[in-house]
Order: sequence, then C-alpha cells, then structure tokens
Amino acid sequence: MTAALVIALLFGLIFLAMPVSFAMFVAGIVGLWWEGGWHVALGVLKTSPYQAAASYTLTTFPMFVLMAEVMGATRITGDLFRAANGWLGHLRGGLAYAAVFGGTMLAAACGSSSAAAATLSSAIYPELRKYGYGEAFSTGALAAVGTLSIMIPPSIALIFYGILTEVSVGKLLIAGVVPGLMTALAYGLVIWRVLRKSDVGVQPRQPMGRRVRASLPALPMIVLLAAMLVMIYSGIATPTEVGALGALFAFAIGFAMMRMDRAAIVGALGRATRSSAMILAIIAFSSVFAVFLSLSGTPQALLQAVQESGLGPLPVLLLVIAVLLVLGIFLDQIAILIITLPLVHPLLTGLGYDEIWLGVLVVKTAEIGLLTPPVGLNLFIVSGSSRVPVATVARGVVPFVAAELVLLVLLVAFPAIATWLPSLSQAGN
Amino acid sequence: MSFGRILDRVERAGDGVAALCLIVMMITISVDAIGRFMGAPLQGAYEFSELYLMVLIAFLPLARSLATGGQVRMELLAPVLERIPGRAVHRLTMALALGAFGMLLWVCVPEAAEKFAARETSFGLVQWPLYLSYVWAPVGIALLCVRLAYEVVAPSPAEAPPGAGDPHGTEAI
Repeated sequence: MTAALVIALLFGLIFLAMPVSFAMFVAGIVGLWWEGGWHVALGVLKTSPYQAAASYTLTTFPMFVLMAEVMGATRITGDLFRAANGWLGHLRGGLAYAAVFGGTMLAAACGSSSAAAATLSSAIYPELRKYGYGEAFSTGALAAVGTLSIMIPPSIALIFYGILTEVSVGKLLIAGVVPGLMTALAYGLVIWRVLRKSDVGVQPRQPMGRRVRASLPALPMIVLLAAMLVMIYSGIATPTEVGALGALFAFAIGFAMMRMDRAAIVGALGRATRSSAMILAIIAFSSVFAVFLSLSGTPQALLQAVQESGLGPLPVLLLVIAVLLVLGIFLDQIAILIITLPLVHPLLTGLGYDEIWLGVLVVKTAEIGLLTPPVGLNLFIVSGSSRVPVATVARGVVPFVAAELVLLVLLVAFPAIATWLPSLSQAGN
Repeated sequence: MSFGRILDRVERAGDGVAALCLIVMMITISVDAIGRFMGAPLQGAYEFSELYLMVLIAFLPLARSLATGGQVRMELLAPVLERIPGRAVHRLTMALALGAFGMLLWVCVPEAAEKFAARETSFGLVQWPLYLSYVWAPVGIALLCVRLAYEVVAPSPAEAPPGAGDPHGTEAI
C-alpha cells in the first residue's frame, strides 16, 4: 500500500513536469520516512547519493558520451554518408540505402540516437529532396535511421540498463550488435518496398577510383570503430577503457584532419558535460528511491503476486512489453528505464528470463518510443532540422515502426538473436 | 551585477571544472589502459577517477543543468501547466525539490566536515584523502539549492515545446 502511494506521488510529480531525478528523490525520501521514520531517511541521504556517484563503474557514461560528442565534432556524418553514397548511390533508392549504411556506421561512433538523427537529417535531407524523394518518406527514414544508435554499440541506453541492473556492460554492448544490424537490414527492406515503383532520381555510377577517394576521409574513424568493437568483444579492455581510448583517438583524428578548432572542442565538451550530469544525477538521486523500494519489499511482493496469480512467464513478459510501449508514447525513454527497471528487472529475472536478452528487449521498446508521437524525440529533431511538420514526419515513419514491431516479435520469439554473440564473447569474463 | 548573473557565472564555473575533469578522466583512464597493455598500469587511476573526478562531474554541473533545462522531465502537460498564472506549478515543484535537497545538504555538510576534521584517508598502498572527495557533493548541492530558491522566487521563462531547439532528457541516448 505504501509503495503504491509513493509510486502514485512519483507519477504525480513527473506529470507536474518536475525533473525525473528530483521527483524520484522527493518520492524516495517520503517513502523512506513512511517506512522507517526520519532517522532512516536521513541515514540513507547521508551516504546514498554520494556513493552512487563515486563509482568507477559509472565512468563508462562520461567516457562514451565524450567520445560520441568528439566524433560528432569531427563532422564524421558527412564523411560516412559520402563514402556510402559512392558505393550505393547508383541504385534505385541508393541515397536512402546510403543513409541507412551511413547511419549504421554513425551508430557505432555515437551512442546517442538523437544526435545521430540531428546530424543525419541536416546532412542528408537536402540531398534526398534534390533527387525527388518524398517529404514524409525522407524525414521518416532519417528519424528511423537515427534510432540505430540506441542499439548498436556503444549504446548509452544499454550501458544505462547495465549499470542499473548490474549486468555486464561489455556483454550487453555485444548483445546489441545482431539486433542493431537486423534493424538496419529491416530498414533497407522497408526502403526497397516503399520505393520499388517510385520514380526517384538515380545518381550515375561512379568509377572505382572515385568511390575509393570518397571513402578515404571516413577510413580513420571506421578503423577506430572496428578496433573498439574488437576490444569490447575480446574483453582485452573494459568498456570504460574503450570509451576513454575512443575519445582520445577521436580527438587525435580530429586534430590530424584539422577539424577540431576551439569552437568544436568547447561545444563537444559542453554537450558531454551536460549529458553526463543529467545521467549521473538520475543515478545518484534515484538511488534513494531504489533503497525505499528495496526496504519496502515491493519487487519481491510483486513477484510473489504474479507467481500466485497463475500467469505464466510469457503473458507477464508480454504485459511488461505492452506497458513499456504504452509508456513510450508519452514518457521520455530514460525516465521509463529509471522508473520501471527497479520493478521489471527483478520480476522478469525472477521468472527465469535472461537479463541480457531483457536488456535488448527493453532498449528495443525505447527505440520504438523514439518514433511514436506525441513525445517521440526523433520525430521532433528531424522536424526541427528539416522544417517539415511533425505530423508529416510521423506519417513517414509508420512503415519503419511496423518493421520495428516485427523485429520486436522476432526478438521475443528467438532470444538467441540477442544472446548468441555475447555467449561467444570474452567481454565481462 | 544582478544576483541572477552572479549565479549564472558561478554555475558556468562549475560546468567548466566538470568539463576539465572529463578531459583529465579520459587521459587518466587511457594512460592506465595503455600502461596495462605494456605491463605498467597507472597506480591509483581507479581511485582518482572514482573518488574525485566522478564526484566533481556528477555534482558541480547540477545547478546549471537545471537552469538550462538539461534534466529529464515530462513535457507532455507543460503547455497546460504553463497557463496557470505566475508559473505556480513550476514554483511548487522547485520548492518541493528545495526542501528535499535542503535536507540532503543538511546531512552532507556535517558528514564532509567530520571527514575533513578527521583528515580521513582510504586504506591501501596509496592512502587517498577521502575528505577531499566528500567536500564536492555539498558544494554542488548547495549551488543547486541556491538555483532552486532562485527559481521559486524568480522563475526563468517557460521552455519552448520539444523540437523548438530546447534540451531534452533523451538527448543522451
């Protein structure tokens, strides 16, 4: 009963537009006071936020966020797109395929899907329109391609899941590879299906020498990304070290290519500081709420209630996915993860589900949430940078969301899609 | 100079220190990783990152991240809430947060002072001065409390809806 009231208070504060980390902090204090009085609440406050922040495990966040921002500052998006366009541009829908290919590579450089959507949109949308691609299709495709970053390593969302649930971040990042590539392939199929009878412009086939020359500027970053993936997969470096080395070498490449001026450095550092502060604040202050939940025994009570209800594990899993998808329609994705995971993770792992597979499933629902109105962030970002109404972007994204739902069903039906590669990897061992 | 501008400058300074810590952390962890491959890891890189850099990165930019809308919040009802005169709901939520963070400050300051007075250090080969780690959480939270109080008294203008260039929590993923 106490937990239900405190969770209701939490949602009330969130609906009143209080920052989620603050709302969890306030609700956590109220819950602790209710459960054990002021001495318990003050005792938790004395240590919990500091200890949650002073953690080496959490350094993974700032390092990957910094790496993504530095890579973005080196204007890698244009390089990747030009390289992909050189090889694919002569096909029907070649520009759109190049956007998917470039977006997949960008996802491996940048763990932020909104940053990916913004840069892809500003770099590629004018080209798509120039060759006669429709407004809704172009913006919908770019919004969808931007979401690849949430699954393909180094995914900040998977790191977030790993930190909150104490699951190996290395294994989670590797688990995102196959589902991420399948999503890119599915987007390619959607593009083929939508454009197979259209009369969009096709670029002339480029000679081999020109294709190679167009690919050269992207090569240093591609080598760096491949090296990072190998390091995570082989387990020779921790995810934190991979993030730090990735940021360091991205800086080096940026300087070598004369692309890191003062404004680029200040901008990248400012955005990295801001994103890190936001994520760390959520973790530090939600720790108070997590202590309350644990003290009140809510996760265990929920698990017991589900077990006694006679529902099998699959209906519970489907119910959880449905709730996550519905929440994604009106709540921020990070907020959903931080609010639901303390309950959902023990519940589903208690029912016997693999926690790495669950991480991929949860992040997949977040990926879909980025594309569903009214708060699907990528819709707004692409709309903002292309100056196309959000409703038009939302119309264009429909076939891509349908593909995402099919992939979600496949992920539920075949967990090996997510668990096969981590089972071979040395990450986290 | 107005109080708002002084506060803004102090917050920017906190942000600047945190940004510098990011660079130091990147170099420290990279040197440690490369050194480990060569059989000579950087002694104390783990503790230095955990005890000092992380605490500075987490707590010092808090106030500015609130002031610039960098904290995750649900914006769905924002247009409705903003119609209430005097930004009453914003003031109410900021006042509630001020109460909660005031309590945190109330327990954090004596804790840090105690560590400082005892010159508490960590155990192990390198004895890190823990008191220098504990001091940054109260500093960041005190700055946040000042910002929250300022928001209650003189709320900043309402943010634009998503897509109009305003910050959004999910930016990070």
